[in-house]
Parts: sequence; C-alpha cells; structure tokens
Amino acid sequence: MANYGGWVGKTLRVDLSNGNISIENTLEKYKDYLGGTGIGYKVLWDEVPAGTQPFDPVNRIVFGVGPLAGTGAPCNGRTAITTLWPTCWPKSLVASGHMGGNFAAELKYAGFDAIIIYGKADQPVWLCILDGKAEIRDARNLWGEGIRRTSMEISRQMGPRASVAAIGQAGENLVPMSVVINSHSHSAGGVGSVMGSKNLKAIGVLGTGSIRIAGNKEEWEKAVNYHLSLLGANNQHVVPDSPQKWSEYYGPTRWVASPGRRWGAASSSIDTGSCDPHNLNRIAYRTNNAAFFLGERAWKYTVRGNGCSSCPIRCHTILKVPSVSSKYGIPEIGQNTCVGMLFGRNFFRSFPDGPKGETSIEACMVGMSLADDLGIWDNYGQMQRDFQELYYSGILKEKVGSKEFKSYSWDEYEKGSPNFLFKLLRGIALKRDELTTALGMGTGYHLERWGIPEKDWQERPELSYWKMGHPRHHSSEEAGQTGVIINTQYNRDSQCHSHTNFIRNGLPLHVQKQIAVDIWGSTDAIDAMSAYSPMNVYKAKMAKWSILRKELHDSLSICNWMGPWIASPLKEHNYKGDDSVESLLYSLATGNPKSREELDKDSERIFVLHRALTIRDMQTSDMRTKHDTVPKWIFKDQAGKPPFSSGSSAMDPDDIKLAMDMFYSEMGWDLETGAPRTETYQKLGLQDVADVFDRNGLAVG
Amino acid sequence: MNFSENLLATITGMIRESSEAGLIIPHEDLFEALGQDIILESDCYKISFFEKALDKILEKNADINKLTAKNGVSYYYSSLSMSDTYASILARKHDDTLIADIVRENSQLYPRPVPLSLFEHSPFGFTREQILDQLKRMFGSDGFQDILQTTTSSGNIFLYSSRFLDHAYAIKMAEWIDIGEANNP
Ligand code: SF4
Repeated sequence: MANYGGWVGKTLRVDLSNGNISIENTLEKYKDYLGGTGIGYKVLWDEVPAGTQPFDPVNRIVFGVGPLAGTGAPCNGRTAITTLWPTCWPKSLVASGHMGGNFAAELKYAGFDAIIIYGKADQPVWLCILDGKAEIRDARNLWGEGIRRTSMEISRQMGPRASVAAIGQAGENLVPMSVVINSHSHSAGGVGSVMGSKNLKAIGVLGTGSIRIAGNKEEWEKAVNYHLSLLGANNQHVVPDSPQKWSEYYGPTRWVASPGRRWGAASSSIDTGSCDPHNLNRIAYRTNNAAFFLGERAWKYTVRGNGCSSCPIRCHTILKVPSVSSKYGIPEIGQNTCVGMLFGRNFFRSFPDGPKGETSIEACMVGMSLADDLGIWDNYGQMQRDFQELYYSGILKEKVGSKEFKSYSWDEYEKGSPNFLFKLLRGIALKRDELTTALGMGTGYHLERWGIPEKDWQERPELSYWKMGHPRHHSSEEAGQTGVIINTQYNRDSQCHSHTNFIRNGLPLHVQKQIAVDIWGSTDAIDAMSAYSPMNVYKAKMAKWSILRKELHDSLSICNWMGPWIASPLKEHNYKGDDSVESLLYSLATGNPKSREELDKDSERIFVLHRALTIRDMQTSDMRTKHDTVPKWIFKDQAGKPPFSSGSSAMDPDDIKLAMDMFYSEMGWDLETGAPRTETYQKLGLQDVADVFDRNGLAVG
Repeated sequence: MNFSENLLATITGMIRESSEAGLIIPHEDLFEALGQDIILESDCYKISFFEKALDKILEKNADINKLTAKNGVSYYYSSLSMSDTYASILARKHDDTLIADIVRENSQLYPRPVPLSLFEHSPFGFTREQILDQLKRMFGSDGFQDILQTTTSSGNIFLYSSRFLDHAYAIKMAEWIDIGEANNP
C-alpha cells in the first residue's frame, strides 16, 4: 500500500460489550470513502443489519474524520458522527451529525482516522485515546454529571490539551433530542442518546503525533494561503454588511466587522476595524455571530470569536454577560453560534424589552449554559417552534393534564423570563414529566404520542417542518427548487450549506449569475430570492453539485458551513473563487492526486451509499413517493401570491415533479422510483450494493 | 507646461494617504496644502497650474480618481485602497438626496430594500432623527415618489425604490433580511 499523507492510516474499533479494542488499516477498507461520513456510511452498510434500532448494541456509532483534519488546511476541524438516527420518524434511518472544535485534529494527532463503536458496556465507561492506544475506563463517577464537569474531570486525568467529547444527562437518559459536545460548544445533534445507550459517557483524545503532508512543503503552504485568500466571513459571505472603504459591495451578511464596532468585553476593548480581504491576519475579526443574531447590543458583551482547529473564522462567539451570574446563577461566559446561541431565546414569543433587548441576550446565555451542559439538541430550532405552537394553541395544556400544567410558571413564560428555562430544560434531560418527555423525543415521535397528524405540521410554513421528524434547512424560502430537492434527500434536516452559502453571500445577483455560468453552465441556475423562475436543468445540476460538495466536505473534514469556495471577496478575480480548491488540498496532503471531477465521483459514491442504506432500511426502492416527499406549505406563499411571481416563495406542484425528474436524471437514477439503477451502483464501484439489492428484490433496472 | 516630478509625487502621495485613512480629499484641501509650494507670480496662474497638475496625475495614475459632488466640489481618491462605491458615498455625504440615491442603487443592483438602520452606521453616521427628517422631506416632494417604505413584523422600516422593485418583492425581502435570515441560520 502506498505511503499516503493526510490519513494517519488507522481506525480504532471498540466493542463495548466485551471490551475488545482493535485497530484496522483505514486505507485498505475505506480509502474510496475518504473519511468522515464516507467511513460512517460504509460501516453501517457492512455491519449494521436492516431492521436494527438505534439503541440496539449492534448499532454502530462512527466518529469519522478525513485526510484534511488536523492539517493546516483552513476550516478542517469537523468530525462526522454517523449512526442510526434516533429522531428519524417513523423509522430510524442512517444520518450523521457534525461537530467542530478540536476533536477531529486531536484524534488524528492521537493516531486515528476514525472510531467505530458498538456493543454496550455493562456499566458507564469512557474511552481514553492516548497516542495510538485506547482504553475503556470506569465512568460511574461521571454518570449523572453535566458535560462541563465531565470534560473537566477527564481533562484533569488526561491533561489540559485533551479534547473531550461528552454527553450530558439527556444522552444518559436516552433522550433522542440529545447531543455530544466537545470544546465547550461544538455539538453534534441527535447522537447523544446513542452513546448513552452504549453506556458511553465520553471519549477523551490526546496525541502528540502529526500529520504527514505528502506534497512539497512550499506548494502546500502556497495552497493553504491561496485557500485563505478566498475565504469570506462565516457561511462564506464575501461582502461586508456595511460600506467599507475597500469594498465595492455591501449587504446583509455575517461579515459584520467595521471601524467602531468593538469586542467590548475583551480584556482591552478591540476595534474590529476595516478588514480588507487581502489582509489574511484580520480574517478572525470579520465574523461576530452574536452581533449578527442578537443585534448591536451584543458587541459590548463580545470577548472574541472561538472555533475549530485551523479555522480563522471563529464562528462561535464568546460572550461575557456579568449580570447573568447573579441573576440566574450561571457562568457569566458563554459561547456558541447559530441555533446553539439562540437555543434559550427561541422558546419565547416575546421579551419585555423587545426581540433584541437585554432579556433576549440573557435568555440566550441561560439556554446555552443549560443545553450545552445537559446535552440537549434542538433539531435546528424545531423543538422551540413546536413548543411555542403547542403552548399557544392550547394543545399542550390539554395533553399534559392540569396538575402538570400548573406546575409550570406560564406567567413567567409569557413575560419572557429566562428563569422559565431551568425547569423545562432540566426536565427534558431527565424526562421528568409528560411535556418534557414528549419534547425530548423529537417532533415525529412527539406528534405521534400526542395524536397529532404529521400533515398538520406540514401545512404550516411558520413551523418550518419538513418530513420524517425534521425541519427544512435552506429550502424553497431561499433557494427555490434547488433548496426543495436538497431537502428531500436526507433522513434528518439536510444540513447542506453549499447552495445557501452562495445565494446569501451578499454579491449582487448579476455577479452571482456570472459565477453560476462557470459552475452550473447557465445564469438560469439561480434566481433572485423569492422571484423564482420555473424549473430548469441548471437548477438540478446545482442541487446535485451542492449535495456532492456537502458529502465531500463531511468526508474530508472541512466545514460545509464555510465551503464551497466558488465565490470570493476578491474584486480582482471578479469575485470568483475556486471550485477545485478541495482537490488541490486533498492531492497535496495525501499524495494521491485527484482532479475535481474525480473527487466529485468519490462524493457521489458516498452519497449514493447513503441512498442505498435508506432504501435497504426502508425496505423499498420507491424513494420518490415514500421518501423524497415535500410538505404542503411549500406550495403556499404567506402573502397568497402565486408561484413564479415576484415576492412569492410558493412552489408549483407540477414544477416540483419536474424538478425531481431532472434531479434523478442528473444523478442517473430511475425516474419512476428515484432509486439509483444497478448500473449507477456499478459505475461508482458499489457492486456489493447492487448484488445485495439484486438478491433482496430492491434492485431497479 | 512642465511639472516637477516631485510636485506630482507629493500630490499623488497625499491622495493615496487620505484614501488609506478612509477619506476622500477635496480639491481645496490639496490646494491649501500645496499651493504655496507653487512659486508663480499670480494666484490665478497658480490655480490653473495646479488644475493642470491634477489632470496630469489623473492621466498618469490609473488608481487616482476624481468625483464631483452636486455642489461642485471635486474630491480625489485612490482606488488602491478605496472603492468607487465608498468614495461616492463620502462625496455625497452632504447631499440631501444621499438616502434616496443609496436606496435606488440597492434596489437596482442587488436587488433589495435597505433597513433604515443602515444610515445610522459608518460611513453615513446619521442619527435616527436626521434620517426620519430627511424621509419626511422626501416623502412629500417631487422627484422622490419612487422611494417607498415597508415595515417588517418586528417593526423595522425598510426603504426601496419602486422604479426597480415591486411592492411584494420588497415586503418579502425586508422580512427575510430582518427576521428570516436569523431564523434560518
Ligand atoms: S466556520 Fe465555524 S464551524 Fe466552520 S470550521 Fe470555522 S469555526 Fe468551525
């Protein structure tokens, strides 16, 4: 076997039932699947029989990282965690969660590309991985503890540089809406309870190794600097949100740095200043997600950005809000991004001082402090939307019974008091009563438990619910048919950012359209948001490209919350980025040269294997009508405007059928069922999948 | 007419320095700083000499640009460190049509409505009262009938130009920018 760089070459296998730990060669088995989700899907295909439930010992939980993790490639700190998804309704199917932080890099430094865990320990344990060796350790003293204390205790034993991925009480108690977290706030949703079902409290990793870069050192450094030069702010937003002296364009983006906007809670207040994109030393000042989500007031509480290894974006903003420690008894420091930051705030409909006042910030601090310690997941904000709907519609009161209902302080809730969150969130982690048990199950199972038809949720655009227990994630509201197609493909919220990072990058539409010609072949691939044209083949190409790039990033361990980098902040490049920067970095790191097209084929193999797992576990090849469904709300515009009119986000049913046809056709799949054909599997090197489907009657022509 | 290389370099340097500092430099400031260095008999001749020197600089340096504001004042900047967009905002800072101009530019170019709050921040730096005053004047007068406003569900005002955006699109985009973006992270 060639001596590749990038990968460290070993995969750790841990059977918790008998304590067996073994090591296998990553490249022999998984090279064609790159790493990350690729390894995860492959392990599930090979080792987890159809019909397995998420909490069965035979279920695998795979912590996979890729060849770029732990290198100097920008934004490489992502770990993909693949397993049978406990909130996928009505049947658990394959999915993956993604956490940033330092875990991915540290796992590589400790000598491993992936950890495959199965079985069930007979008492609580944690997994200690230290420089090529692994050991199962007693975690009885940690069981019942929150994530912060667990991480501290393990770090005390392993050393302060250790990265600890731990579950909280929610995961221990098999609450499906639970996370695993490392590096304070970097969570992967949905998988905490799978760890809990195996009695696995945490994984600590520490290594002193390094990752060999196969290519020439100068070329590698040049490639890394080139990639850095293409970076925008978080979500690859490439223009600032206000006019700046260097910038031709501006818009409502996450590039919020500007002269006069200061990290007010830093030890000495720091002006984020004018961040000319050519100054690579100022990339970390561009993003402040607290200010983006919570408004101007958040600047005075900002300490700085924090983030994943080797990522200059630092999208997890650290806030210091001294008042919360005396008011609520929680730490005055908190950090997170996006829905993690908004976790507490999103339960409330309003606050006494408005949506961006002090109370809203306090609710965020309380929410982060509780959820990131108890280890609760919110399913991209669906838990909070469900909660508000159930409360204000009166359903909640009816379902939980009056004694339980009265035990909550609804006055406090309606007034927007963050105090309300303590009982609710602790209750979810401990499954304390009917309300909290139901909320912790995830939307699909919760609705079923309370006798609410799923279709009631699918008719309401404001609930953002899509299907199978999960919400939309960048669908028709911002990306028309392309967004719809992407949202049909996964068994949880789609978590694909390839399309939205481009659409929301802040550039004028005509500039975006010029880039679209290069990547998808026509200006028609994209429309102005909410002014959609009928479906065309270029949108199908964009959907395919978006999904394959997501899988590529999740397998190489680079951040799909940043990439792809097809647009850049560089005026001298006409704002074009580079569609092949991934292959440049991959080829240099591994010494296994691959073109953009070859890597796209690898990602297609990975994505089609995900499709095959879905078909196998659903026991039907009829993906079109049984899986790739859309909620009714996408066909309605909230202002009642018809599809294809200016200002309307409504889709047209026949046009969406055509969209799926075009997408299946681009993928080489059967148009009637939406299943990959035998020849598609063969072409992608998935003969074993074709053989299995041939035997069990799931093969399609 | 012969210009000393030194003079041209000094003027060019001043323009570049001011752009570097985020400023456009008015003609008058350049002249005040350098006029006395130009030893010629009459002031009148001195001015025309200076004009010609500036023309020469514009001709020889692709990065040096001139903008003339509505009140006739000329400004200079270097595109090495300042964009045309930024310079044109600075040059119009005292125009009573600035807000309308920016609204129209955004409606046409991106296309999108802009929040009132845009004008409170750098480089505009207006107070809320100043913005509302300007709007009051605009909404009632000729030449601004295309400037319209929409209020989002959280009460924030967005402006757009009906020359470039229809009302339905403006409403949808304002709601998206104000609320939708953060709710769909
Ligand atoms: S953008 Fe944020 S989540 Fe992505 S790698 Fe950087 S810090 Fe991590």
